[in-house]
Amino acid sequence: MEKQPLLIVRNLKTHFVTWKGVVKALDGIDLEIYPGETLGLVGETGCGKSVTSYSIMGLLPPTQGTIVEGSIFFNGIELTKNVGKDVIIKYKGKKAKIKVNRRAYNKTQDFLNKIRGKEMSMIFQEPMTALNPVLSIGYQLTEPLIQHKKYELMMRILARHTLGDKDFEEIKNAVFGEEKERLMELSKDPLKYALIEQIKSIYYRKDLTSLQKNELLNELRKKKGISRFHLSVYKKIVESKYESIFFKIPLLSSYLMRPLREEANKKAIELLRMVNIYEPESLLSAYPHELSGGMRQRVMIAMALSCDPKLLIADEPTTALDVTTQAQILDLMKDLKERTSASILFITHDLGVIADMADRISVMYAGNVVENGNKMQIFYNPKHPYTRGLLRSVPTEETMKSKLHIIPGSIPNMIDPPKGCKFHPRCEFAMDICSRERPPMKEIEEGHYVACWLY
Amino acid sequence: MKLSTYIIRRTLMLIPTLIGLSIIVFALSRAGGINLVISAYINPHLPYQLQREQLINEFHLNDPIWVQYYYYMVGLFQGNWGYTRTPIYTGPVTDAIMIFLPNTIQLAIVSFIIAVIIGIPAGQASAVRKDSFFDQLTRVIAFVGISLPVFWLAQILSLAFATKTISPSFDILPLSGTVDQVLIAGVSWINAQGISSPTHVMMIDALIHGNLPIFFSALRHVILPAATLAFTTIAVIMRYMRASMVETLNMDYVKTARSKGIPERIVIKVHARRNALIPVVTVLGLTFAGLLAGVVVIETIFNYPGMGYWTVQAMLNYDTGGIMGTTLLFGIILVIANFIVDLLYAYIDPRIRLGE
Amino acid sequence: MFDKMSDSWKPRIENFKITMKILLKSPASAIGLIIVLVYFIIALLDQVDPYILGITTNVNTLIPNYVNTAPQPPSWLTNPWDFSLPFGTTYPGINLYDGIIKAIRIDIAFSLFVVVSGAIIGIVLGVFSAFYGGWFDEIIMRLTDIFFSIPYLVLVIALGVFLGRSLEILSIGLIILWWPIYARVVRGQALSIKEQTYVEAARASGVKNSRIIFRHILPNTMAPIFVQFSFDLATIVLALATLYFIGFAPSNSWLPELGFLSSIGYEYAIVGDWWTIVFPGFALMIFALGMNLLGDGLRDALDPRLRR
Repeated sequence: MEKQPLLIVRNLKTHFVTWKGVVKALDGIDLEIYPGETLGLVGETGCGKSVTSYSIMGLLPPTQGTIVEGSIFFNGIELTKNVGKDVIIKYKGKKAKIKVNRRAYNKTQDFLNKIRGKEMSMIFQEPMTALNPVLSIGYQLTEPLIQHKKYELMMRILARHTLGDKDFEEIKNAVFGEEKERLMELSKDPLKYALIEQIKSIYYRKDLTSLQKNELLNELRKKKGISRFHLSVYKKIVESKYESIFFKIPLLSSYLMRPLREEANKKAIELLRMVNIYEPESLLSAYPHELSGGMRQRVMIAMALSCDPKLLIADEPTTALDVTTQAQILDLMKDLKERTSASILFITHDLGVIADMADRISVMYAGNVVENGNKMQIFYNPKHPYTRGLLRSVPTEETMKSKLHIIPGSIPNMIDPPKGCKFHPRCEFAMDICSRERPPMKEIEEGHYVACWLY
Repeated sequence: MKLSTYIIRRTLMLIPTLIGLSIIVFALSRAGGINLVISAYINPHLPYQLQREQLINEFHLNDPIWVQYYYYMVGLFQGNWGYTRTPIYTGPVTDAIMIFLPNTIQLAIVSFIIAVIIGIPAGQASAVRKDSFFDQLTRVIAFVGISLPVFWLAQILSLAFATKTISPSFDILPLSGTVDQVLIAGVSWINAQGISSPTHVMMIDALIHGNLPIFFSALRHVILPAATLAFTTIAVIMRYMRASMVETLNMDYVKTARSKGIPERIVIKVHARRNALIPVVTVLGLTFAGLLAGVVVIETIFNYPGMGYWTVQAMLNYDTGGIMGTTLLFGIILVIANFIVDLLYAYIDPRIRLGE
Repeated sequence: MFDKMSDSWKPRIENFKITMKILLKSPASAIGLIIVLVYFIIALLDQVDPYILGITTNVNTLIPNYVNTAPQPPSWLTNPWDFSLPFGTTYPGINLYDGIIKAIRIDIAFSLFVVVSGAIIGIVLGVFSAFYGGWFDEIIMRLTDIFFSIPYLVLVIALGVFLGRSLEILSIGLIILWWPIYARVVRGQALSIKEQTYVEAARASGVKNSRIIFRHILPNTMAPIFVQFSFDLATIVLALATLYFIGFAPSNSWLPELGFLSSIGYEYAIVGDWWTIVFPGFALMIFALGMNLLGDGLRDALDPRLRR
């Protein structure tokens, strides 16, 4: 039984308008990511990896570029439904003008905002500039929770206050005994699920003794801090699903929000623990400039995972970090991979990192995907000349004895790319047809695709 | 470094700046020779020759310059700021300050508030709607605003709204003064020279005493000068805000915020604006300086009896006492304004508060 | 030595050409450039051959007409196509066309003098301050701070009262007030350039300090200076006009100056002779507008990010 892909990208073309001409950054790429797997996207600087991630998330700056063709399906929803309507590029020979239809663009963004941060989230390359310097870590961390997960926050509060001692004991024993099937049964009740989550976060803490854990559990059981009014309103909202209306009434909404903010802070602390930050409580009121690069990246990861997204896009998350920190972050991500069930689109130029993290790999060159396969296939049986060149140019013990292999030439001009296969000027196997026609993607063994005329 | 430490440090930095200011005014006064200094302190109602001897002794005018500086400062702290002799007022400088300063404060603050309330949101809106019609329009207006000579705008606006040049129906605002003289005659809390109590600022006092006609009259008199002054300031603030906002909207952290699915209006309000305001606030101090310079011109054209009007009268009448007083005072006002701006800056930017 | 200098000039001329191209692309800055050129040409013609512009009298003074002192409206208001009095006259009987053309020369000359002097002083002090650092830098910075704390108008007026209200004192006063801005701008630029490796390389190979400063650091700081220069020319002209408007000039002075011209007709303007204040002020505003447009355009054209 084939699983349905979580993310399907078909023939995606993204163009940027500069005063030198139109940069065809993505020239028809195809991608698929299945639930729970990590897809590595590899390529040199400038091949379009980051543009791919921005295109999927809808973060392309509208005055500079946009998706011009193709489709992106996420979880069955078409993200590209407004392509050609909100940002329009008019071509005039070699140059072009880009125009934004503000209304349509705002509609697209509103539509995407329901998915971004919640089902699909992103970690950026530069942790130093990716966090807002004038807002506290706590605020930035709880922001997506409050935006997207009000229901869950309310459920957590309600779970603590309305479930009886019997349920408490039952759930506690299931969690502490790691009875997976029992937990799955209990999880069907959303109220109990919310409690399971809270108890789990206490159970998994490595820095506490059993005694301390029990103390915390008893803290949980105490039904204090929330007024009856809050509880009854939350109950109504949760049952009626008219959530958004309640929170639009000005004074009422800020009154309702207060306990939710507290709850979001608690969840934020749990998230920080998950990314191996010690003393997370003190971090909430800190500001980004007080943290090191590694810590900032951890905060970004925590932020991205806060709403349990189905897809996490990691755009060169370790490139800007030093090697030791890089190793820590990668370990963390591998750990999180197992704990959550999210798919990851891991973008990097570092083959070593990819070998560590990815299940499947797509190789990009100059705006196209040239090879696609699982880890073993790509590393042990690379087919495309570019992939082979890449693997050969990694220094190893054998290559230390001879000259380092490099791929001659440089990446092509994206405004006026070479005709046919874009790699042909640098390819040692180039044939006549390579300069005339673009090779289609062919499956050469199961799950292994190449776009090259050699096959 | 916590906020309180920063405030204390900043307050201590005031002292050298104020000292520097006093040195400049002092040096200026001595630059023209002894006689000019003496004429600054001469009481016009008493005989000249007698005072001349006294003053030379009191201020040690025959001694080395640093001794003179010491006695100058002593004089300042004792309240002897000299005398002013101008057609509008003759008497001790300190009294003149009491009369003229509140009016100027009133004018400067009203103008500044108008400028900030219009300028900052306009700059933000302009940046968010970059290259739209609204944006182009506001940019043109901003350009005209910074190119306009303040005095010319004042003249044109007076012609338009205070005379019948355009049409009789436009003659709605008064041409001069701070308040309708008829209204203040015989009012208990306003003395013969037109100074109100307790704060000396007519508009505030009118509100304190619950006298609305006087309040509105004062408002009508201040509106035209304030609007003229505000216009150029709005242009400056708007341009800075727009540039800053455009730059901020391109920052990585704005991208991060959008990737979290935060609605655009919150991105603009919470993530972008606060960061964009930081460079704008640092420039506010300078803008206030320009405002004070403009006050001199505006008060002259509108016959508005404030510090600026007094300064020009002092200049035309070679009144050294008055000039020393106004220069020192303008400097003090500006130093205080810059101080407040620095505090504001620390409040907005946590990197300053907590030390980078 | 000269061929070494021409080596460094070639890329700079290329740079200049690119800057001009970008500048002229934007309609706003092109208009600014045209306006500024027109004004400068008028000023130049005034200097060498005022007759071309229709000026027959002494360029350095306004000629009042005591026979007919009341302001006359522009001649084309009453007789279309009659351009004998294109801007009318103002009290006391001064032909505004003459006055404005003469005043443009005076205003521009004065402004150039002040800004260039202030710039030279500021640039030299600023670049030395950045290069040598230490207590010299501290003193310069404190000085600039102090000068920023007094509104310039007030200070110049004070100078006038104590040292005499003449044009010379005025220019010295403004120069003293303006150099701090250039010092700050240059210092900021120089500091960031100083950290770059090519300066360290020059130092390491034993190049003399002064040579480093003038050949390596200074030329690369020029870009924001040109921008500041354009804005300041406008500001100084406005400052001069403002000072003359409020009456700074000595009481017997008939120096042609746009602010002065605006002031003398005000009482008549209130009762209906609007041209007495509209034309001089307008001439002033257009110049400032042109200069500001040019400065803004220069800033955009020289911005390294936008040049790609």
